[in-house]
Amino acid sequence: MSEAIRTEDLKKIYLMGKVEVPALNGVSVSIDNGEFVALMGPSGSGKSTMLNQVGILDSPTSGRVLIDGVDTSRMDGERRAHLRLEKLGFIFQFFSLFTELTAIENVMLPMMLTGATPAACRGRAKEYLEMVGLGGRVDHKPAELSGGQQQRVAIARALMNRPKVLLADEPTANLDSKTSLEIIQLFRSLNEDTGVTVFMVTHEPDLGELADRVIMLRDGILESDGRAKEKPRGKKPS
Amino acid sequence: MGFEQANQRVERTAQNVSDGLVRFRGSTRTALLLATRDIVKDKKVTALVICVFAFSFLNVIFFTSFNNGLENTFHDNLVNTFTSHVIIEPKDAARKYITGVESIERKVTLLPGVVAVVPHLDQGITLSFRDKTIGGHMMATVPSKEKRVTLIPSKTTLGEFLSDSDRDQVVLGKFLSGDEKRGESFGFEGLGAEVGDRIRIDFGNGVTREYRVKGILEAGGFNADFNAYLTIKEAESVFGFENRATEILVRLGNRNAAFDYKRQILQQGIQDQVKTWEDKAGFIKEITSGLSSVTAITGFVGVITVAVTMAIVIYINTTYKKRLIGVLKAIGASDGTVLRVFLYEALLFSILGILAGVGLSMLIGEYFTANPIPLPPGPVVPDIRPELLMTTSISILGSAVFAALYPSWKAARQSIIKSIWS
Repeated sequence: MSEAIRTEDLKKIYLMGKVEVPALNGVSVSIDNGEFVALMGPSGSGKSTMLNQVGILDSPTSGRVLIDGVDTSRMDGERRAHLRLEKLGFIFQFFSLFTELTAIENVMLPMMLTGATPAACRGRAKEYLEMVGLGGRVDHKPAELSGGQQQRVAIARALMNRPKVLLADEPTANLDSKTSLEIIQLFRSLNEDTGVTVFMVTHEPDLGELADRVIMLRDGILESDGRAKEKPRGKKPS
Repeated sequence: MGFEQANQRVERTAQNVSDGLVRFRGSTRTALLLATRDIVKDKKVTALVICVFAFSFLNVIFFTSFNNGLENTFHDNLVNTFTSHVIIEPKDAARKYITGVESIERKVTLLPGVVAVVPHLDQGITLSFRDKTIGGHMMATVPSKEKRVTLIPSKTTLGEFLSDSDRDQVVLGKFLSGDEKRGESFGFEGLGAEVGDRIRIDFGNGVTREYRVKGILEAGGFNADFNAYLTIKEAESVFGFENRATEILVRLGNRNAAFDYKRQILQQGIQDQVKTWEDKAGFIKEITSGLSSVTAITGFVGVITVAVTMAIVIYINTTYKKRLIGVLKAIGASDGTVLRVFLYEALLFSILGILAGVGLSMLIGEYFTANPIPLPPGPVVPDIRPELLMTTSISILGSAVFAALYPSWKAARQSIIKSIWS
């Protein structure tokens, strides 16, 4: 199976004044296409830093990140943006929607950026909103949606350009436990139905256990990398 | 093999260019969507920004158009009460008079497009009424021709203007008649004579005659209100010569063709000086250029106000939207797309502000057309010229977009991580 994500001896050191603070200290992982991976670890373990590196939102101090076999280490800003647009989908822990746009317009954004026609963007956005269970709320503004619904809109937006990898940074951090479970189950079913690779940061062990594989970080070092205890199957989101 | 490789390279380049254009179109559409929605979202802020733009626009337009209007009033007065369109004067300062006036009149009148010609004889005189004696100017004319060349006869407000056969009649400009009831005297003390009074005029050649005041005029022009008008026949009898003039005024069908007629008149073999009204208007430029510098400063302040407003609005917007800028970049928007979101916003604000400014200027223009500003040279109607609207619009648009450039660029360049976690 081909690799969706590969990191090689990834290091990231932040400068706090004159003090060097290592956030990642030589992390090497390989994630295959179609895997559902949870990245876990205590606060300050380097989870978000790792996700930022994999999402090519930031540059490593040393090491390499390969997305779908493409080395991102020597890419300029323009090519990184293009790679994010084509291969990656992001879901953040805060509700990252544009408040002045409707749900469907928010979802359309990534595809609009590719230059697709508005009609094509609208058609696909509607399709994905229906997929995440919001077919009846396409013209609602974010303020008219609940937290869970907003996160579903963000998931539909992340899927718009049919990315290789969905990157989620604690996507349930601001949701209640019932909605959190629904969202994770939605990731699960998307992973199974569309084959998209899911790489999710979470600090909730219960949710991490729903993934195929759990990568544990501690103090910027890979502590463990193995299969999760339990995998829910055949349970679709309501 | 080499040919095939070259062909492939060309195809790849063409594909890259095509992909780039498609992405540019997509980026433009996205930026426009976000910019327009942002403007529509906060209607109160949008209305305030449009107001600032509209009033800054009006600020630039009003003072400049007032200056234009003042210049027009000066020019109209000059043409209607002083120079007409073309003026023929003695060849040089040593020669006091134009001679052969009838011949010149005939030649000029025959030129197609010339409406009428009038000779003037102009001399310094002394006027006396009861115990008052003042210095003044005599302007001798042919009344029937004067009516076709200048508006002076129509400016007679009391009594009536001269007729060609008048000999012992005079029409006084309002400052010579000196009735303070008739308005501003500018410190000039007149005779205090009314229509029907008899005044005495001493001419430079020692001749003294008495005249009945036939009319009093108020032209609002440059010299007209300081003149005493006689018929040219009367003046010739005073001075004892004929067929002479100190100037000949020529009225044309088209004021803008004056320069062309100047050339045509000179081609008639006329030896005297021929000038257009514009040649004589140099002093008006001196008056209005002083005002122009004030207008320029006011306009500059207006444009700077727009620029500062725009910079503040975009700066606040980019600060407020820092996290969403990060999200937009995370989902694949380039720096250029983010830059364009805010530049389009500035552009849309400017366009709306300019449209409001044009509307406001038109309303103000309509008001002052109906109610001109009363000033000593005459009523002034602000002249809002299309080129003024155009240059003001471009200045406002340019300054707004330029001012938005730095905060937009800064927003576009900021790190995604810092933006998202701001």
